[in-house]
Amino acid sequence: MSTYEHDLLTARFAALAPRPLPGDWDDVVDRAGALRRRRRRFGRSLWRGGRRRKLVVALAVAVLVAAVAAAAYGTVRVLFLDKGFIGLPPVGATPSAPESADLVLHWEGFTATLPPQRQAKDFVRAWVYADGRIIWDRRPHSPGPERGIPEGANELNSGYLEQRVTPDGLKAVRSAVAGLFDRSRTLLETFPTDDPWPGSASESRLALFVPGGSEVPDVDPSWGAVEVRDGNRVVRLHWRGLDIKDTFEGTIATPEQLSALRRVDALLTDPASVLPPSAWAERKVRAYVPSHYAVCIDSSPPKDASQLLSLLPARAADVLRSKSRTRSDGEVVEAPNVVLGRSVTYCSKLTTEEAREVADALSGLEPEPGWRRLGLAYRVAEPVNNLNPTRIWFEPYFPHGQFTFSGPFG
Amino acid sequence: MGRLDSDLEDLYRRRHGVFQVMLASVTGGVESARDVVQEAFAQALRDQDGFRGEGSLEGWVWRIAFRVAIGSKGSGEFAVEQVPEVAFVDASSDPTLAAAVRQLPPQRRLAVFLRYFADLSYAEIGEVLGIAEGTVAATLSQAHRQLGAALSANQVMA
Repeated sequence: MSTYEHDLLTARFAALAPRPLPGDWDDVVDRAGALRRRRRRFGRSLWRGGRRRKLVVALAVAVLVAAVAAAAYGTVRVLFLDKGFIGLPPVGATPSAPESADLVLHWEGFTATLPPQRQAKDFVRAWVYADGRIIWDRRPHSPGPERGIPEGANELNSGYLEQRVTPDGLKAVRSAVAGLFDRSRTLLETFPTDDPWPGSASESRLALFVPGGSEVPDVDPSWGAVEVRDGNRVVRLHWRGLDIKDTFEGTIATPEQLSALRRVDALLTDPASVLPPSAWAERKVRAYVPSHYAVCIDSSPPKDASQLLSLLPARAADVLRSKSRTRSDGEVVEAPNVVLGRSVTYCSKLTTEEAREVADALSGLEPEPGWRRLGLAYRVAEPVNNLNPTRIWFEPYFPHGQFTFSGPFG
Repeated sequence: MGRLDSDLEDLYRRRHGVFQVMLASVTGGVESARDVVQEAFAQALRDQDGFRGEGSLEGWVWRIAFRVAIGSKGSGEFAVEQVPEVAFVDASSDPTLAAAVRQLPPQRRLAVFLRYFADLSYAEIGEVLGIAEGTVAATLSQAHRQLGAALSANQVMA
């Protein structure tokens, strides 16, 4: 059996896996205690036995069987994915629940916390929610068979993965980050929570400087940002390598600040190794399956939405035409000797089923080069005058109602 | 709390879902499987002396869980001759795979379920079934060949 066939079989088994019910460790402990007590009672009463006991046991079994059968009848089969995926989830995959949640913390950066076999930094992003969900993705600094995440979609990209902490676990994460903020108060930026967040890390010019450069392997987390909800505002801190000190304002990290940063980096890069078992509601890593997708189409030079939709296969255009869309303007696009204006991106929010319909309709287009192992994207039109091509791509919505960018960075 | 208590709790929190999924294929439903998992971990907590540290803690708990699932009242260890019948709880979305798996002999089928539902390594499967790792490899190889033939006959494997 080839690896491909093995993976296929794994996926087909996963599709038939019933949804496990929530665990309850306290119940296990109670049962263990009850077992000890029961054993002592049985030790005293085993001599009784007889028909009456057999009848009671038979009745209990009958009741149990009836209860299990009744419960099973009402079971809805759902599918959790144990591995990340690229693009849209397999048909039938159960979305992460609840659909909406408050974001309490966002982290992104090159991590210095790596498994021993790795030599270079991975880029890590994590979104932490009030209900305990941690959604994260990780991209190895350089690809290789040993660099992927075991639960990841491929060696270049983990895909979006999910774990859950308990309220105590959430408290531990928040207090670790708060400790970092306490030590870096002069560098904090704030903005209202009704602004879309996470914000753009590249907009800031205020940073805590840490040893090392942004792109070179070293022992410190040398580029990143963390944002935390603090009442009705969001507080953000950036850190940057000393090699770009001239383009930022800030201060050089003290040993205490660096130590705090390393601790938070370790916590958010590999929480399973840092948080104690009692901090976990679900330590097992699963794929994050969204309920909605943003379907985005961009163009430079800018075209209006109707022009762009007319470039798509009719069925895809029909679905997108029926949806409202947001418009965001990107960087200024210049051709030789002339400014053509800004690039423009339109995004529409679709259910997963609608997104799948659009993707099916687009399947005749060329996949966008460079996105193959990162996300689902198609080339709609070739670039004109060395400008950017027109692309359409799919981004999962997160529980806080925003989406991010899954394509190639830079 | 002793070290083994803590390790059991850790194992439970990480893997109770996997235990449920796997054991549902023995008990026929996830609710009854959950009950088996709760009971198995409770027995493991209570009978910690039964873990002699010769294999992994997880392998030991799996053996207890199977014994609970099949209602064995034996020595506390799941024995290889007690191989339970395993089947998908609901195979309606992939009847071809279910049919192919049903054709496997019981021990081969169980090894396949342990591999793909419980995500156990060959060594761990060997530990659970009480057979050598090489025997697991041979068993799974035969199972894969059989499944491959059945599924490719239906042109759905590749």
